[in-house]
Amino acid sequence: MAESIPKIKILQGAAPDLSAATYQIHDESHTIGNALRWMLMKNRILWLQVKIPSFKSFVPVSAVSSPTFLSFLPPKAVDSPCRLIIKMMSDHPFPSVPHPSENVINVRIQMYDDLSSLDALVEALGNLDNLCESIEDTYLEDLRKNNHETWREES
Amino acid sequence: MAKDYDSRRLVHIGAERVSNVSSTDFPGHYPNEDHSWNLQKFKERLQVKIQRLSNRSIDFDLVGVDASIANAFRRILIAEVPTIAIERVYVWDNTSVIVDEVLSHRLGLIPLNIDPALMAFKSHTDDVATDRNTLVFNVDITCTRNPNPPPPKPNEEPSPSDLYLNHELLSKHLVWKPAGDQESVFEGLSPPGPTNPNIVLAKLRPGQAISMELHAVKGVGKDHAKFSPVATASYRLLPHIKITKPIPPPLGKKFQKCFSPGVIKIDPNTGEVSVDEENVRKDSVSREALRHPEFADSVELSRVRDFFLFNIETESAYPPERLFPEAVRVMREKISIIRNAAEALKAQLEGTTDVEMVEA
Amino acid sequence: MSAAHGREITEQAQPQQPPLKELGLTEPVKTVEDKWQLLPYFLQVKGLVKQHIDSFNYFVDTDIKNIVKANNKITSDVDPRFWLKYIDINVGFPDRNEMETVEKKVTPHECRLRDTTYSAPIIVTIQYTRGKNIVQRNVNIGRLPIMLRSKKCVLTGKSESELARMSECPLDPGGYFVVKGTEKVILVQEQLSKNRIIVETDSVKGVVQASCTSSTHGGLKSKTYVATKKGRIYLRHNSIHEDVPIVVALKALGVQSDKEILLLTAGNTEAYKIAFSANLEDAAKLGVFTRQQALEYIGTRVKVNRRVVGPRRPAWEEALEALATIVLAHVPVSGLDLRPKAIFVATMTRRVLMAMDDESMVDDRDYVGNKRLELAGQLLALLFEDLFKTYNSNLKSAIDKVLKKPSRTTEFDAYNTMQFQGDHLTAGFVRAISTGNWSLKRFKMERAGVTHVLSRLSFISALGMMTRISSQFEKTRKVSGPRALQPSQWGVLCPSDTPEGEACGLVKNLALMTHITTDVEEEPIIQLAFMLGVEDIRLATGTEIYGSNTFVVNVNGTIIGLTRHPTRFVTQFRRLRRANKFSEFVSIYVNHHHRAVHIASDGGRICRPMIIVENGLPKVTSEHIQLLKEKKLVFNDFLRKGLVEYLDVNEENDTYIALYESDITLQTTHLEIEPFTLLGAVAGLIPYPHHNQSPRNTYQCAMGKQAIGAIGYNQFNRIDTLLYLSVYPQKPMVKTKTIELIGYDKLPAGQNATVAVMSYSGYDIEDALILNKASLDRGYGRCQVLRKNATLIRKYPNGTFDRLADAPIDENGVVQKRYDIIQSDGLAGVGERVDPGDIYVNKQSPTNASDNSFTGQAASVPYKNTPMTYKSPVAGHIDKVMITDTENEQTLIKVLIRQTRRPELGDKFSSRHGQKGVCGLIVNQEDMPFNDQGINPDTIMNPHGFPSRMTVGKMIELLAGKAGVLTGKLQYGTAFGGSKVKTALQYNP
Repeated sequence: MAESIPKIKILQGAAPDLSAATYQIHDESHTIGNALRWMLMKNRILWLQVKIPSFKSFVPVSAVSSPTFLSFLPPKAVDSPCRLIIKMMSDHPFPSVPHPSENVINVRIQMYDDLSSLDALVEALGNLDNLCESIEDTYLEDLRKNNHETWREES
Repeated sequence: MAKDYDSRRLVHIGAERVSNVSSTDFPGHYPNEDHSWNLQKFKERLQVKIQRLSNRSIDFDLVGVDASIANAFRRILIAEVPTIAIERVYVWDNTSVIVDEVLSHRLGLIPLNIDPALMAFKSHTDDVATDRNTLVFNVDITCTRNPNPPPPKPNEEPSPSDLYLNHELLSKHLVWKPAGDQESVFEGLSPPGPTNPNIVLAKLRPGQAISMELHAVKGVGKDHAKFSPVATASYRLLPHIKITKPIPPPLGKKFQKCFSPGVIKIDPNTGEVSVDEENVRKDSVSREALRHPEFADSVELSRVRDFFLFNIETESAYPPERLFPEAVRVMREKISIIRNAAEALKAQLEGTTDVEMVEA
Repeated sequence: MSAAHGREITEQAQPQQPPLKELGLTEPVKTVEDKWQLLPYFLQVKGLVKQHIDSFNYFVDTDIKNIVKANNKITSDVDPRFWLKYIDINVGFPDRNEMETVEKKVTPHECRLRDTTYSAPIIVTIQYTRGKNIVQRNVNIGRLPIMLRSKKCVLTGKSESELARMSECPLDPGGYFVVKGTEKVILVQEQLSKNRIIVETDSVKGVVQASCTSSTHGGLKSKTYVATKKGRIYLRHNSIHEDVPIVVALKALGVQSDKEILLLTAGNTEAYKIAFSANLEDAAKLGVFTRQQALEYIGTRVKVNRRVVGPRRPAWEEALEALATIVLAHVPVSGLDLRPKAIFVATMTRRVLMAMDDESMVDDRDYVGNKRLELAGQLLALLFEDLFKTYNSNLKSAIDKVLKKPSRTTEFDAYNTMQFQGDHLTAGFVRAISTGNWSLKRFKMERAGVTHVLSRLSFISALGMMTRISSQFEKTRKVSGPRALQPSQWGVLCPSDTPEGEACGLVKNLALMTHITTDVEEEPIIQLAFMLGVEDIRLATGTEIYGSNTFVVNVNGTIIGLTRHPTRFVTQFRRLRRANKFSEFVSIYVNHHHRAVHIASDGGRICRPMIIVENGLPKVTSEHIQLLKEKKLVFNDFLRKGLVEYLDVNEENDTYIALYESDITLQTTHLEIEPFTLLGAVAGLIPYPHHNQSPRNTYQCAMGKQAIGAIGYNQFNRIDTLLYLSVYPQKPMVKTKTIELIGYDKLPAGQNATVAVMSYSGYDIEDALILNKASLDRGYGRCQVLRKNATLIRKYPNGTFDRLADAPIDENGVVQKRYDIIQSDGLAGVGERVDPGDIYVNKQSPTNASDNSFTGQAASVPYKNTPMTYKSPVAGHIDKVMITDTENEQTLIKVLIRQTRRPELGDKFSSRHGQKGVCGLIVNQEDMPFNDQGINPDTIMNPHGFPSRMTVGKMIELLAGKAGVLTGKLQYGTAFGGSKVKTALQYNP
């Protein structure tokens, strides 16, 4: 059984070119989810400039479990107030745990210019790794400097 | 003069609300500013400073990272840094008042001094125990009457330790039984056992005995809290106090009492009230100052959003300074697993036009 | 979960506050504010269930002798020379009712384990004629179940270590019985007081009636009414077919003159005279003028108990007998002098006239002073009387049967007949207590549900049961009166502790400091009253009785005389009581409305002790408390010295009680010992109850009994049907004085938890709770469930018997999985894990067990498997296996199976403020919120639980609890006191 579960799968509602897709990562929690979200949002391609996306691209969103209440909004003109809501929602690829008893996390990524969200994901993971590496290095360097207070504690 | 932070870095703390909570350093949030990922810029901003280190705990500052990153490390420390703990107990005899299940549970919670790096995970809970993934301990204790008790003192209940031998099962009674090449693996290291020898596990009286075999395995905190290497692993944000209007000297003492001791200093000569930047981290941010109308508009309370004061306490085999790098290592392992999977997915999708989608 | 804001800290300092019993003698007592110290000493003497034990002791020592005395002679209808007389009766100590045992002593715990009855022999001393001689012997006539911790119980007066040797918990209150292995409580029953006049009106029918239920020691019970019907007053009684006009009744009672009748009833009050005059005319119309005529009138209407023998008596004789013995039976009649009874009827009539004139002169049935509590002793006395009478009539007919035989070979010895009387008494007691059906035809008593199985859900539930009072009212009737909170129940009945739903307000609980009286002999009291200047009522006429400054003196409802100086009389009477000249439980008070002094010495009155105040100064001083602490004084010394006295609810009306010392004025007569004693034992567990909305305290009283915790020090030796135990019970951070007094800190039910009041994840709406998974991993909320499984290894009448067999081996020579815990004796090994479907007692029964014609070899019969199989879907462990014999020599096997459980979704948790919730989600520690110190909560509670429920006490408990954790000291949340919020807030690290 353990073997049959892939680490990542793409949930229903993805665009065929993967410009928008929800990835379900198995056996992970907010630990990775939130860090990944932050790094994804840092992606220059994702949001290099603020564009108001056409409504059409959001329609499949309704089928997925991630930030879904979009589907309750009727299609409106581009400058209608709900545009703002849409923007706020789509701005944040909130990773979500579909149900606390499920050991998975869903990450939805939507790209402009029909770029591949999978590429963005891989890139973000790479960046995250670099970030961790540099934190570790800085920490170890400071530890080596040994200019901290030391004391003894009885346990 | 008080140290100033970029107002974008501050979480504002009002009398009844907290505002500017979320970080805003994303591309597109501020027009004409580039906030996209840049490792170089990140490294410039990043600071790690160890403040205090003991044999059991560490305090350090992590500055310049997003809460999502700091939180990831906190979460990993609690839940995903592996340790060794007793997982299986084979009871041959237990006539103490503590029943088998409860005693087993108590045994499981004993912190052991075994470096988890020397052991492998059992790939499945029902896997065969080998010398690589399991350490065996024995407990054999029988309580008897002390044949020569000290003479009883008048007006005093004789203590059980005088009357009986072996009247308590302590963690030091765990005896390691090396198997396979474990003897050579642990050579030169302190022999596997509890980090604290004096944990009371059960009390015994003459005629009662406990005889058990214990199997310790490697595990992580999200499976059971006994595998968590930390007692506390948490962070808080650096408090920031800004006096916007001078506090009149007669109110100085009262103002000082609104904060944790040492945070506010009063010049003994001029009576000038100022924030002690060295000690501002000691403040508990109780917001007491905002309750008093005379101070409400004289002070601004806030916390620095990306200034994390980490505190990690441990009772495990890890020395406290090793825990954070261990957490980073776990994080990077996770990242690499997902990255490999993502890349595999990408390779798999290459060439096919149809994306395989799964029912949510 | 005790929602104290406490965190489990491993090296938490030991609580600094010493238990109050060891409070240092060095600390100064400044004011009498320490007067609450009287309370622990009161409970030392009285205990929480003293009422049960006292009443049982009274039954065993006194009542049982009175009953035997009243029925002490048996004669024969056949042989007039034969008689048998009971000289004395004594109840022994519990022993083992088995022939061949050497050690006869038995402990209650052995009875619980062996399913036997904890009972003692009843020995009577008899004198009877044997031939020409008179013989005296001791005979055992049956066995009486013994109340635990009563005088006759082996546990009484034992030290903790002695109790431990008997597997008994020193904190167990006793007061219950062990019958056939189950613990049974006889609940306290509430009733309207006997022998007192109660006046009621029915405004719809326009009826005013005075009623009086008479009850005497002879066991006769009847109710007499004096009621209006169409403006006329009548006497009504069950033994008379139709209502008797009051004037006719009075004439029959010997008051012949109309003038005297008018004086005795209406007195000199013009309004009453007018209202009454029509009744006189009625009697004249009926042609009743003389006593003889009146008796004839009544005689024709009396229900006659047809006796088989004897000639028919004239009507007036029947009437005289009915009036003398049945109507108002409690009023003493000596030598056919019906004068006191006439005055009693006249008083009833006058009360009716008063109520007709003034609506407000009616009595309140729900007033606690008009109630009497019936306890185990009284109920057992009734039962014993009934059984004893039946026993005697059986004995009589058995004796007659033998004596009837014309030629006997040996001299007749009644002792032998008594030996063959069977166990009528033993069986009667056991049946009544184990079924709870008190059906005594003789006393027209038909009550079910008198006894209950003692609930051992928790220590508190057991304790709560012992203080419970059940009312005789029907639960289905929709009347609010009996259910409502009565102002007079202050201090004697707990205002919070009552169930919700149909029994609401009908089931009550005693307050902490109450005592229920037992009967005190009234004859010396009457003598004393006469000595203090009371004039005998038989010498008085209406003019004196209703004179402008005369007060009628009543003793237990009977009018005994008059006094012209009621205040002086009452003061002197009280002074004598305070000087210990007679029982401290005799109460006296003046009723100015009825111009009467009432003295009560009957049993079942609720009373409580109070400090006497004279000249604006409480008589208890700091010095007294100091001496009390030094153990140079005990509580009873306070009574003896006249510093403290017991007041019953009626006498309380005659006093002016200060709640606090500072409230004392010159008019004050008494001072409360401690205000929190107005709550009961269960409500006393609530911290800061005076800050809560009242229904919340009531909910908590129901819920506190369900808490899982420690049951008793002997909990691991018990084999109960179902026992829930907490693995790590903790004493509450915020305790109350009541908690210490009842020992809840020694047998706690709950744990101190770190609670975050916040919304989290949405799985906590509608009172759901979030639990921290790591806390559960570390043992938070862990509990054990122990379940009893019993079977008999029987011997059958045909000589065959059940047997235990070892595990069978299949054709491959292997023991099947379901038999793998069976050892060679056919029983599962202690400590083994039982999986669903496993067999833990491999019993086999003969196939022909019910075949009574079987005569073959018992050893050769075929057997079939009748094993005990483990049915629960969750595996358990064998905790204990017990093999023993029952009273009828059958082998009894009890297997205790234990499950250890950790909290899961849907489990119920509660604080001590009626705030319950179910677990809605279990969250990993890393997902839990944390504060600056890195503390994670054990439990998250939704803040929406606060605004509408207004459990402010809970919020104060949170503050006090946190202050306690930080200072390392336990806090107090005692009602009307406790640690102040201000102190909690001033904690400075």
